[in-house]
Amino acid sequence: MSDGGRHWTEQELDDALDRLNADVRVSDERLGEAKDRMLAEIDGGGRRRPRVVGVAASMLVVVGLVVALLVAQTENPLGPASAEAVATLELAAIEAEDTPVGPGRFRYVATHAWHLREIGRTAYLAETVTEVWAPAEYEREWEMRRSETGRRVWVLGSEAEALAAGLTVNPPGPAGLPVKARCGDFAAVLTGQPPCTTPGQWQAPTREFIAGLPREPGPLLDRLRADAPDHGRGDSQLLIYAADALRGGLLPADVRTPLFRALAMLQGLQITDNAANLDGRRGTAVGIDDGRVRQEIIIDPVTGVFVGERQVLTTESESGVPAGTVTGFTAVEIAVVDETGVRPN
Amino acid sequence: MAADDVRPDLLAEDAATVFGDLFDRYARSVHRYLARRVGEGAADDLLAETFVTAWAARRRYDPGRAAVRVWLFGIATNLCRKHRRDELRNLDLSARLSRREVGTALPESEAIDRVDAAARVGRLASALIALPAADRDVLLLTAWAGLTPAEAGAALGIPAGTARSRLHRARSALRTAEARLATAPTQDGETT
Repeated sequence: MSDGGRHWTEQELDDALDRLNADVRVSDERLGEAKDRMLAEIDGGGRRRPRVVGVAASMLVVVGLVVALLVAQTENPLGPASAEAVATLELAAIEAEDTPVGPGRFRYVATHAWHLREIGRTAYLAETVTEVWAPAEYEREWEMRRSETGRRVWVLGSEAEALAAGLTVNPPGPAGLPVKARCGDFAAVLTGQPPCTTPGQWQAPTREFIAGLPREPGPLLDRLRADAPDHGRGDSQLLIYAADALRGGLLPADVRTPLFRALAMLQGLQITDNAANLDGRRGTAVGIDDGRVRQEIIIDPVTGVFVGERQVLTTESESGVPAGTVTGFTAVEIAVVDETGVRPN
Repeated sequence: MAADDVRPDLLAEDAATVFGDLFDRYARSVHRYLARRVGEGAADDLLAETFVTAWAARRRYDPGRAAVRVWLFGIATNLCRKHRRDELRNLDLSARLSRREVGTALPESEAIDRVDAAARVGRLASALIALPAADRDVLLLTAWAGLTPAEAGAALGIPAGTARSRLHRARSALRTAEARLATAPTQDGETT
């Protein structure tokens, strides 16, 4: 094997990707069968429903509306949030407040994120710590440090099994060097764009993005629904987007309060764990099960503080990770410090 | 080939006809993507499931967000996740077949290039097994479904920047992991 001992070029990788499993075929007969299955579904399922609404509406508008509402509800079998879940979110909404960051000081946000890595027939959670120092003056320089701690929890198989199978247990992680950027625009540093130009999003809310968010629960829920891509996971996807923004630790209290009230309107929301433990940080888990994974946000039941978020498998995964396994979580710590790069005591 | 950017209204009166057209237009490429990932047998089923799921979820397709082709590949990729066992078995098989081809080839000069290529394909299959599933999704959406990294992000519901960094990570891991796998003994005890 002449190229066995060195790294591949991009071209060699592309060439191998082009060739791998390139000889697959499909017959017109198989395509026809698949199309028939789709057409049968269209004829038998979804198309009939609007027709019923249409007939009712043509007879009597009011009856038509009632039927339309019933149809809308039956499309989501999960039902409204439970009273306990609503109460927990209301506590978080009422208690939301921000410690003021005085001039020249910094808000410090540390997130301990554990992500699932499935390699071969094994899987483990690995910890990444991201620390951000956000200055009181938004357009001054921010700092971010990210590092993999090397802490691992095996959820399927073991490290010994993975190594024996020749799997890459520790793929190269991001460097722990500090990144500095005005406006917290770390993406601009990486892409070479001018600072303070990357548009905000739920995963990385900028000052402008936050300013543009509605401060009322209803409109804020509409906005969340408009922004979150829908992949057939029901309202779970909205909870994921809200958790993305919350775990960044930089949403101000006047957004967090209506956001928690907006989440209380999600379908299928339940208290899913009264004593969730995020590597030592504890709280009440409020979550939605999409039939495969349960997305949760964790609230301190006494102070109402957002502790973090978590994902739990609710059915055994195809690769054999058992139901009930935590497949990811993030714990958030927020403080105010005097200097950038310095951790709170 | 220029990527097509068809963004139909899936809630139109004639949505059933639109779906018939979508099937005729994209079924072959979606099937090819699925078959390369999970094997032909599973792909036949998943192809139908992709379009049935798309029909059931048609209210959620937002033409402002992505081409319908991107959305369909996103659905197909989600379905692949439920067939990870098929996918890993399929990659195992490809790795073994390539090793067999390498093992039986004669050391004649005209065969060397072919053997090198086959060896590379086999090693790639092994390395793909060892790749984190989320990174593999982005890589194969770009390599086999022909999506741009940003489109792969839209298909998976992740930010474009995340998709780009996953792709970068996957490609560097494959290019460097290859060297290690190439010198490692084979895992299935087969003589190569």
